[in-house]
Amino acid sequence: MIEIFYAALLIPLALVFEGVRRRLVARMHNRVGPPLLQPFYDIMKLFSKETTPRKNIVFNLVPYLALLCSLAMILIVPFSVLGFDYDFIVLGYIFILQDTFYIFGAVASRSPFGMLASVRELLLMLGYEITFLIVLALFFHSTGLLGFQEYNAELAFTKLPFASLFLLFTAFVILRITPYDVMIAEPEISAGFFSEYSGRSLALLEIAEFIKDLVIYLLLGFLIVGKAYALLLAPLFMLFYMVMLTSSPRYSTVVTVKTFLFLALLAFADIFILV
Amino acid sequence: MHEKIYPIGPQHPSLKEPLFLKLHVDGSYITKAEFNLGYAHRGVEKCAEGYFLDTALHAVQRTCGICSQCHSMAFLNAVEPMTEAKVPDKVYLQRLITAELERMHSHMLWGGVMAHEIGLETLFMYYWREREHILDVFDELTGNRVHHSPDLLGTAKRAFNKKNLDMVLEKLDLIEHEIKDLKEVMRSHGVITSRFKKHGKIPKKMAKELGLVGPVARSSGINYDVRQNAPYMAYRMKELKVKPVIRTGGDAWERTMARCDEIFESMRLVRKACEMIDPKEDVPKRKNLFAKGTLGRGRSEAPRGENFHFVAVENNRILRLKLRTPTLANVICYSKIMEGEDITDVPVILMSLDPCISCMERVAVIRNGKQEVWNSHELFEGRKHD
Repeated sequence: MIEIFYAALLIPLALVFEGVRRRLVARMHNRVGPPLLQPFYDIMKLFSKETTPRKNIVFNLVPYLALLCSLAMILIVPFSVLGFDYDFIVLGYIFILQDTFYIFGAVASRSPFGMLASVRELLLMLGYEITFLIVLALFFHSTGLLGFQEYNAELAFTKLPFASLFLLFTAFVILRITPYDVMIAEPEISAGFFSEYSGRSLALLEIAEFIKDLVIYLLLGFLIVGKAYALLLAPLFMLFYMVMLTSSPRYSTVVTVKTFLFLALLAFADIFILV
Repeated sequence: MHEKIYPIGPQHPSLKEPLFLKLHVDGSYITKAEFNLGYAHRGVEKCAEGYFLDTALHAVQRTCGICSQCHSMAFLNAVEPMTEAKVPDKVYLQRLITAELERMHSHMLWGGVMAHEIGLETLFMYYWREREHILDVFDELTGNRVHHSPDLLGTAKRAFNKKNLDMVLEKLDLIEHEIKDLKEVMRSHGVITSRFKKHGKIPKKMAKELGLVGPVARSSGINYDVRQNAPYMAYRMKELKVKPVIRTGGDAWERTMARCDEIFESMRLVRKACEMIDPKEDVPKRKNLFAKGTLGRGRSEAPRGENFHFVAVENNRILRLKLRTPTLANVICYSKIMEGEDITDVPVILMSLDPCISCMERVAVIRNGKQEVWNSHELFEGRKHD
């Protein structure tokens, strides 16, 4: 019963997190900012808007698939809900799958902005997704377990300082935080992947993004500090990334791609040191 | 490799005004850039035709929302010698104060937009917060925040008193420290320098050949400033001699620094002018002045470069008015400097030239997709002779 209640609260929780995030950024900009419930109003308005129909099945399906991926993530991080439990490998797959769906949607839309965003995302995936998978593997290797709910390491950053650092670094790209957010750079590529989406499809994509952001904040605390502190630490991680967002401009594409390819190499080196 | 066309504009988040940039890209590198104008039509020239000089002044002041005083000064430079109006120094100094404050707020606005182009919203908000103080000063001095039109032919609408001048100085003291900090961020932040340096390079030779004006030319090493080379109004005074900011290199970084420094130069001029102005003196009453000449031309240095106005008068009414805004002189180099750059750097290069598209746009005749050339008589009558 509690589980069903918790599961029903997950989407509103992600939206409230986004509302708090917007307020926080606004205060750092020296503005008042939108109301705390602004994401709810946005989503409600988007649902009432007209959705531009397309004949392309991939384009139409992507928002639902992306939302499914996000829900699959939040149902195991940080607690297993409704009997969901699987390996960390599956979680890594789901992360990659969601990005792939975005790329499919953008390419299917045939928008030049979406295309360019996909190319940038593909280049970056070579760097950050590999690093992310390696780092996940390292954390679970340290406990000797595979399942997500059995993970019991506490204060893992003392044992795995480099892996923790790499995880914090990859989160920049996954959360799309400056200086490494070339795939959503608004002045160059408009809305990137989401350029051609409107109405209900856009609302679903936005919910998927909000949930994914929340999962990342939770996952950082979950892996680096400990399972019990995940919910407590999520706002602190959000504060850290918002400070980064408001204090740094974005690097150019070439620099970003080079940085993350180098990071992937370092992550490989880290494996050899440990194994 | 397969070549693609990547469109920027007419509506795009990096553009504040309509302009169409058609970029031919190979991978993400630009092989050829074309631009297309004519998405905004401003009928200022036609609007002013047939009106008396002081009525036309109202239209001219509304050419640009940022440099409205500079347009008014260029127009008055053309018209006032015709009418042989005797303008007191106080009016000249008042015009200088408004014009230099305009330059400051224009460069701050630009600094904010430039920060927005590289994703640093915080700097954008901070620059625009400081800019608000200058808009408040305009409100106090002229009664309007944006289209402050304080000028009349040969005089001004109202005289600045002691309270006004004190407020100007107080606000300048308030923002000077902040602007220094913001400039320091622009100068020393590693990511900003990596984005700005070596992009959008305009060599001195190219700047000279294309006849570029304003901070764009000055940051390429060309020593040209109308305030210095052909001083007008209060700039003729010995105490208010302008020291233009000349830099060499001509990339986006140099243009940024040149504009940041120009803010301080303007600040110095405003402070000096506030000292020289006599707060008790009144400005002359408005008179009906009649133009004796027929042709006049006037120039002024707007924040973006040289404004040029050509006025033909007949029976004290405007027969033909021609405005050339600085963007028209600078827009010509877009397609040249974009070649070979990454798409990532396009917004930076575009904004570093500080385009003001809607002020520049005049007439676009599109008929059967062919280009037509109209002469001045045809424009005056509003139809093409066959």
